[in-house]
Amino acid sequence: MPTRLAPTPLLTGLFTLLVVALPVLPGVPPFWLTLMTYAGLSAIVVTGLVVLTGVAGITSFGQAMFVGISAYATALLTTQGGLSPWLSLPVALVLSAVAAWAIGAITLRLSGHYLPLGTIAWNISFFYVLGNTDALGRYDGLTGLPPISLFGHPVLGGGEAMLLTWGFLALSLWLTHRLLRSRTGRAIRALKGGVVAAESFGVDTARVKIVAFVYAAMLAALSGWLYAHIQRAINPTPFGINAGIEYLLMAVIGGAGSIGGGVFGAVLVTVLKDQLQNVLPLVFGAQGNFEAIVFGVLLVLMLQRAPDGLWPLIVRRSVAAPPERGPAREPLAPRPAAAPGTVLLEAANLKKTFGGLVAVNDIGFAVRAGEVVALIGPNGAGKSTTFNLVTGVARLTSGAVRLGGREVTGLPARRIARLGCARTFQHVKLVAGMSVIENVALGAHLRGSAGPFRGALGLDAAEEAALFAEAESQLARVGLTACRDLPAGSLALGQQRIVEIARALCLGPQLLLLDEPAAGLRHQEKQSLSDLLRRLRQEGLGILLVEHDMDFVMGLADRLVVMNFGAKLCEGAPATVRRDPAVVEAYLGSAA
Amino acid sequence: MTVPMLEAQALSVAYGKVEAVRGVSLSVAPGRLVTVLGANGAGKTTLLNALMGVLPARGRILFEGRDLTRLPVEARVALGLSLIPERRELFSTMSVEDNLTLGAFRFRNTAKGRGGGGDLGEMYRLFPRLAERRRQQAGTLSGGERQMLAMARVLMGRPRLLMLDEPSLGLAPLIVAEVMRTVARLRDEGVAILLVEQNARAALRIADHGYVLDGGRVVLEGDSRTLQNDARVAETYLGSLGAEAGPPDRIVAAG
Amino acid sequence: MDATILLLLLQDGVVNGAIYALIALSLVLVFTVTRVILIPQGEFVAYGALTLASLEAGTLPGTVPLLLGLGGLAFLADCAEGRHSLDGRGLLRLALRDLALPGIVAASAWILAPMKPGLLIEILVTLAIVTPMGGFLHAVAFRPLAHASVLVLLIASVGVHLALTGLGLVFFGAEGSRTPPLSEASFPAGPLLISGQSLWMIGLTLAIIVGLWLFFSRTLLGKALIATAVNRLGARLMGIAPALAGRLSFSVAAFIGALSGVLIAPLTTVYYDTGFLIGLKGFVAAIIGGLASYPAAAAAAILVGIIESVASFEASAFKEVIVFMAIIPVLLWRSLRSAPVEDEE
Repeated sequence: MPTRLAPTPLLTGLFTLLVVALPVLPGVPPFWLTLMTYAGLSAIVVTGLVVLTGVAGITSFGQAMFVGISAYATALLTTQGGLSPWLSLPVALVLSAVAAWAIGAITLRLSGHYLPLGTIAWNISFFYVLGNTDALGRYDGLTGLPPISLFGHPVLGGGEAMLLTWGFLALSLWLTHRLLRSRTGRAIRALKGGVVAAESFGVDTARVKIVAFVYAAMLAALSGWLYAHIQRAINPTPFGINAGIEYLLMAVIGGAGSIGGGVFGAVLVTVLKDQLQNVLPLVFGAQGNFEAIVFGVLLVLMLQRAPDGLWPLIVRRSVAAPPERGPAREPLAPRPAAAPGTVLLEAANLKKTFGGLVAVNDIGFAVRAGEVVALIGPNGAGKSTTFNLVTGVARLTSGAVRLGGREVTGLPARRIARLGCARTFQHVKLVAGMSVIENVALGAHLRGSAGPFRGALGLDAAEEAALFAEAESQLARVGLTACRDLPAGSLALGQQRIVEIARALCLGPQLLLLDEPAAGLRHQEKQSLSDLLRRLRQEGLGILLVEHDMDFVMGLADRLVVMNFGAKLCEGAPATVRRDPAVVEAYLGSAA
Repeated sequence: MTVPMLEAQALSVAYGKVEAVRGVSLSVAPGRLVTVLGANGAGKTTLLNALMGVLPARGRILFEGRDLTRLPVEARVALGLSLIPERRELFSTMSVEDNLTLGAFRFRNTAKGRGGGGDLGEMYRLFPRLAERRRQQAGTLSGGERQMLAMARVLMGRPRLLMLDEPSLGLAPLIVAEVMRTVARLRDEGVAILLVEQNARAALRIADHGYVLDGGRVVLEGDSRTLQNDARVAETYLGSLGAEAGPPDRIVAAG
Repeated sequence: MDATILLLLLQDGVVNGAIYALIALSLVLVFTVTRVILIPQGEFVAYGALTLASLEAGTLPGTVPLLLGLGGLAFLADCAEGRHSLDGRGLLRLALRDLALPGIVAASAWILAPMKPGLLIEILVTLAIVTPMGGFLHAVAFRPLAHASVLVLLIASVGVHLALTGLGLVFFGAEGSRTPPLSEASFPAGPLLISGQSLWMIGLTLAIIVGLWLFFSRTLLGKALIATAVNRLGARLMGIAPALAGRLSFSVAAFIGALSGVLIAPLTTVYYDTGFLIGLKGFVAAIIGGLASYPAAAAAAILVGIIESVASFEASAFKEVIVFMAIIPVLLWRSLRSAPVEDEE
């Protein structure tokens, strides 16, 4: 593996220098300073969109509304309430956050494409509310806002406004960076690896989505507050749906997957838009909204040719490097293993029907501490459905599942995880762009408690160090320490399956559920997997696996449960099952 | 030896970094019934999807000597290659008859296609159950009827080479036998067939030739009579352990 | 509000609702076949109205050069798409469809426009200009994204909307246009005066609904479209190319959009960007129908029309707010009804 060049710090440094120097240098036209102020204002909003759309996968066309809520709130508070802008800032932020919370609670439940359509609807409505409310000055808006004053010195546009904006942008970037690295940030990033996987490690994905949504709204609010007091007059236009679309355009063009991409997109689109407004009418020799045409075409072309945006093409794309190694810490205290032979999992009379079709019929089995049980059967026998019933991913039609003697029927996956039951997936569900160690650390989600605030402000160092020490030790246990910092997606499939096991072990489970762990593995890999599972069994874990690979299963499992046509065909030791004529017929077809 | 109807040369298919089919070469001669066997996850379905163009593949695919490798699914259908996939992929909310009519879509611009109807009657003679249910939605059919409809629909397109992915999947033994008889009859009528089956015994009984896949590779090839008596076929399904080969703790010793 | 006013509002609502119904139907069609949420549907409406207005004025509509340009781009896109399988005949077919057809339409528009040939011919020319744009747009913008997610397609759709609105401004300018009504006649019905125009609108809407029904239930091509919507892979295995289905559904959408524009142009002044709001109201209806059901979408569209006309009487400034907020409870109801999101296939 070649060492990854890290051009980002260098680039960041140069860019910071440029931003700081621009207002100070003599002869820079004030026009450019204004332009960069606008770019900075947009970049703050787009940074929120990176978290929301790029990382959490929630597309919003409606961020302009949160900018507007904050701008109008601060305008009213400062002009009519006589508040200083510094006092109205927290009010504006909280107001936007509350609005986002309320809207998010309603609309984030929407699946797939309904949500972005909802964002279009609310942003359009918002525009017309602003334009038709007398108290908000209708389409003329509000004027006479006081400037922000810094140490008694009013910031009145030009270079000062630009520095203030970019200062706040830097702060936003820093907070966002920290947030994404934190426990909550890993949970947000885990949404990309699939909701089911995240829930299986105890992440409340609905809550995590709202956190991302509120965070993005608060950054939008910050931008709105700055805008209002730099511009010192506001009207509905910059908060309409077109502005909302433009923010998303910036994120897509720059690259919504990274913070750098968001800032780049904001600057590029702002400058491009201005230049196009100057140049295109000369080219076409007519009036028109030419930049919209160019942006529209650009957007479609980007999606066709470079769906990840331009930033990854400029900066040789790497995953965000995992957090620096902190001082070595003890891993979390291991959870006590159950006494050998204790029944950990008991499935009784499981039944699942889809419409009229019976997929699983009256299946029952138990898994005890210190044993490996394998669920096998030909294609379509109902193994995966049974597995999903046990893990709470699918709902039982009837029957019961007990974990450690506790009835868990009907509990969601994240509650089942709390009972010390960890799983892996048939189709590996890792976050491809996240480092291996962070993927593994996600498994320890339930063993930490830091929320978004502690994360963003960096107050979670001790807990993070402990979680990562745990992740390191589990990674060492499965023998993948060398892959620690690589993006999970760059590993071979066999290694990815092992990473999933390390992630599951991070939960501190008593019971391990493995869905086709040997699929796609090479011979050597199967052997080391088999060795690992034996060690875990020795340590007192109970293991249930669904598997196709008969060589693997026969050599490893203590007991087999054979399914066919949704029902249990037989159960017993491998050698017995291997000779059972019913099993032979199920696999090879009837001899008749 | 005649020119093979369908020929795959060193075909590989990868999902991301995972190779599900690794360098498979096989051929189907005109009018022959060839079966591909193997356990779950051996790469059988992937192989058929690649041959049909549903999945991109490396290597070469020749149909009557013509290179298909870069043609989309629809173009392959137009040449007379057809697939009944494992999930049947019926138009579940449309009527049985509409499903059948659409099977002949590739003839829509020919005089025959516009006339239509001719093949429809023949399908109803071949599968009388479908005639009874011609107005019913395809989604309401039973498993066996769905397989019949899938077959009849594909036959409306008069394929010259038909690929079937586990036609016996989820069907009761009696219906499996009926499906296999239909497949054999098609071969006798001159349609070349590539049959992927989990039900090895049923497939080998009607096939002329067979390939056994394991781990994405062809591990065994031969005429069906030979394969029927080859213990290694059973091994790929049920594993080598527990039966005559070595003690169950062989892996421990190796590790 | 007395009964007469209510009746009047209802009439207004039904007439507007008829337009939304047409748009909603085409949105449902495009979405089920291609998974594209066709935001630019509104632009087809505006293009239809403004093209007819140009022809009325005896000038060559700006949509004509646009049609030629899109045809050229589509030709390039089609050639690139078919580079592995294209033979001489195929190339000729592409050239006929993408270059010759728009050429003929453009030539006839160029000849006919100054002659002011009368409303009927002008409407036909309008439809001939706008309808092929749908297919061309699909080839240029959406076919290369055939494997993208619904979300990516939605963002692309917004991009196309931006570009088309901008082009509308370039070709038609910022001034709005209005065309004479399709019929000057009016008929008294109780306390109401029903205009010939509204009868035309409702009648044509019904005719289109019947036409679509016949197309889908009686023709092989129509069935192929439904088949693609029901099961894309199944359709491909029958030799139905998704590109063909996509182009066809986009063309139908453009045709319906242009016709809606023709119908709405006498009622209200249409600007280059009017289509967006009209299209979005069609959306509200389509979404109420779950983007899947034609009858539900059509019924919801009438409801949206009535809500709008009542709202504009009771609280005219907030009528847009009311209409667009109506979507939120519907979305909520939809998501409560839908199963919890699972990312297993």
